[in-house]
Amino acid sequence: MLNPEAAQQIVKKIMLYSQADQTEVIIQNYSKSLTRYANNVITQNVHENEIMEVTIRVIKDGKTARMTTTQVDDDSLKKVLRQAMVLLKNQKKDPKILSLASKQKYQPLDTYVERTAKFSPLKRAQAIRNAVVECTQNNLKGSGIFSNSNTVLAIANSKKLFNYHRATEANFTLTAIGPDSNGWAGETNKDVDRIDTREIAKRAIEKALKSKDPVSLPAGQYTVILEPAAAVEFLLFMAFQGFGALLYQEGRSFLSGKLGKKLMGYNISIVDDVYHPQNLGMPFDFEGLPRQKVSLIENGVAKRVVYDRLTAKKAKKQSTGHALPQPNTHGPLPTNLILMPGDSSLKEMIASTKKGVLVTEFHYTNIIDPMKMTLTGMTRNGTFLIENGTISRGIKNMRFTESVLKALSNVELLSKDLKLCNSFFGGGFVTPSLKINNFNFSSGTKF
Amino acid sequence: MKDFIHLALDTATARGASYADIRIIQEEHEDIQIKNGRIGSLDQATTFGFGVRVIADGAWGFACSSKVERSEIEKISALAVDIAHASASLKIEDIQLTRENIYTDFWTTPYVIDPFRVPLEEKINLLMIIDKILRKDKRIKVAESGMSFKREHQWLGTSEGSLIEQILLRSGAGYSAHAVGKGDTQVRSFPSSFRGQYASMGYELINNLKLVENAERTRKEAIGLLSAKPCPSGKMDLILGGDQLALQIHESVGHPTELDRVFGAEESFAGSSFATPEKYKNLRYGSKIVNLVADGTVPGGLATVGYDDDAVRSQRWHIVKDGMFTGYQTNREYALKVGENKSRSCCRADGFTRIPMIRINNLSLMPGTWKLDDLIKDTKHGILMETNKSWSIDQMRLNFQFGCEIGWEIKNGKKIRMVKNPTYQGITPEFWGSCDAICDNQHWTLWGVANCGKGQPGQRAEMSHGTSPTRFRGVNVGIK
Repeated sequence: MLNPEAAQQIVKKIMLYSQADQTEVIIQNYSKSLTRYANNVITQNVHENEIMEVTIRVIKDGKTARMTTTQVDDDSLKKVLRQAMVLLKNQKKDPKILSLASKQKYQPLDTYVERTAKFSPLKRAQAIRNAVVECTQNNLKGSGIFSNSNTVLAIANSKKLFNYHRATEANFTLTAIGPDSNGWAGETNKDVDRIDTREIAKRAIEKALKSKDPVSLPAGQYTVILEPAAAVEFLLFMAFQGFGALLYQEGRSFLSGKLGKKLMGYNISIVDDVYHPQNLGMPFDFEGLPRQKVSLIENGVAKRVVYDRLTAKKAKKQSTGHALPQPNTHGPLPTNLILMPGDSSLKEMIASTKKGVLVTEFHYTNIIDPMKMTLTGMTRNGTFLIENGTISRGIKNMRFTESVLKALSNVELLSKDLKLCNSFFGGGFVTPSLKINNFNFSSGTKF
Repeated sequence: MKDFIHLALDTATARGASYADIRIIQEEHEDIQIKNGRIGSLDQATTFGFGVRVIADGAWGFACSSKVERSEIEKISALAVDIAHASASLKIEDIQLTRENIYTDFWTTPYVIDPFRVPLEEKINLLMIIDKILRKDKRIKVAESGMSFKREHQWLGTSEGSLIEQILLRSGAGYSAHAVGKGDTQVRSFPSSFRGQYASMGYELINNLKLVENAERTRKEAIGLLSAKPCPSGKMDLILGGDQLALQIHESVGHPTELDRVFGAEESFAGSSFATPEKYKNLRYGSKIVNLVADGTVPGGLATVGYDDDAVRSQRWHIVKDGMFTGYQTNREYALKVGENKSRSCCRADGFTRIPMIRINNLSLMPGTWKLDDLIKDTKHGILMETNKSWSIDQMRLNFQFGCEIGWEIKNGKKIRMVKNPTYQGITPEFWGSCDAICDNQHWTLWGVANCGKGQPGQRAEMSHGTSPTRFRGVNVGIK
């Protein structure tokens, strides 16, 4: 894998060969391994070995273009740069193109753990075997993944900016499957040793066993308790559909024209903070600017959106360090959201519920109305009926159709424990469990 | 390339692989996005690398690299075997593959105009013309248009002796107009949403899409939606326009008949399927007029290739025939599990970094006999919905709910008004069972789906679905 010196060498060559006024380089170098299992056997086992991707952006005479290559020999880099200059020739001048950022200071993040980078296929197989044995002993089938990755990201430009970040990540999941029930559990961490695969297996199996013989519940409004893996879907869609400045400026964000207004309950606060100890992320954005902590929702009141340099210029503000690779049509994006905790616990939430639904995960959530933040999605992998303060039995999966703004206005309790969870369509965010009143389930399914 | 291929296969078999294949892939991409009169992004990419897949000790292993060098090929081939041995530590039975013919061949996507040779200026100018038309009304706050092209040059060699070179070309283009006002935002897209229409063709696709001719209508519909009434709620007839029906097929027929999902291989992510083997050739999937055909040979199909990544030649077969469930989408590993001794050639990978897996093939609803005007006249109360805006379906592919960009309420045989935010929900076999009218081949279009996700690590695949407007009786619409 590229160390900072090796990354600098590639950058130096590109700068030497470039004939542009300004040149930006994004180097991604990664090794990723993933073992996938189903029906209690390993079904796929893959390794991506030190894959290299170099993206070069050139700027000249108010024009810009981007080229990506996986080859970093001299001839390949020269060819890519020549082609980039050809792309420039076919454009008209765009006065809005910004000069590249100058050298930046940022607080590095310690997100690399050697043992995660070196975790072997045999070790992954052994952990999976242990989980599968537990499943087999309970007449369940185990399905899931164990992955580990080692990634390097370097961003540099001709104005002497050079940022380097490396990170590791491990992810273990288990879906325990019975004849008419499923149970899911999983963890993501930079340190593979902090993932307790036996405890994950125990949780998933317990859910599968508890949710067997499910009954149907009629559509309607229920008190619902969302575990973090379900609640994370709300954060994903708010991030993509509203917390970025470009959508806000275009009037297409649910926050457009509503900053300073109360949109959610007093107990809801949302920040973007890559330095939160449970977050995984990089300390700078794709323009090379340091990521800042941004308070987006404070006690239910919409406070801010996140900026890159272009949207910040339009708003006469400073970038908050949330740029995607430039230029792009989506604008800035918060990628390290945290829904701030409360003082309750999952146990207390269940105990305080006379009748409600406990949801482990949502499946295939998608947006219906971006201005009202109305989403729909299915429950999955452990959905339970709560009666008189206890989990009474499993229920068949249900579809929700609900506004996130309404749901987050009806939150009765938040857990004090937070968890980093991956959403279905990607992106990991930190969230507590939530107890929400009057949550709308619009239909059911057959299992 | 042959030397590299033999090196990989020899290395893998010498290390104990009973089967090995290598795919060396060079890809070229070009992507142009215009937003509000500016170049939103202009990207070209060239990637080059290889992936080695082996069976050793009866289990799969896969490794890949972007260093296409002899020493790296040896290293990665050996690593794939080591990984397979690790996989073998948790197996119940050895992987078996169907016996297939061995091929030495070259295949390329037929095309007329190489999109990579069309001047960039010409492409940008066309998109800028569209952009101007879309933004003629100030209520269109965002106009986005784009083109995308990909050429994949792949060399596939297997330890069984197949040696196949293919050049796959695809083109795509489209645009959207986003209207904003009255606290609302509405979008209309052309030819379809999610960046338009895609096909395995050259630039002739772009020339035939009538992009400029449809821009004004697209703008007017987006603005019209701002003041349109919400879609009514209740049970009524539903006519799905072709582009929405393409996604309906994709989600409720394509994915549930991928045989790896049926056997639980996708359970940990995208889910499994209700279409289990005991239902095979027994289940009534739809009404008698429903015929859904998979076809890896259809001209222009995004999944149209000479051979899949198992080195199996492309073919055509029924998934649903006269309403009955008659076919799965298979690869060499899974076909045997339902007693079939040949693969259906559905095994594809997303570039050199991914292991091949079963992906939806081109899958189309065969045309019926209706004209759309007659179908509308024949509908007492219903909604005509067009162009997907959101999609969601449970992990067994039963309960789905879709949202569309635009709806037209039909009363007593006439389109009486535009409605916004139309949604509908159903259960797969019941929904297809309610299909009572399909428009004819004059209305039939092969729609490209360029963003199908599956697998861990995630893989994107492309395929096409041919459709014409189709009516479904008594559907839940306007979901609240």
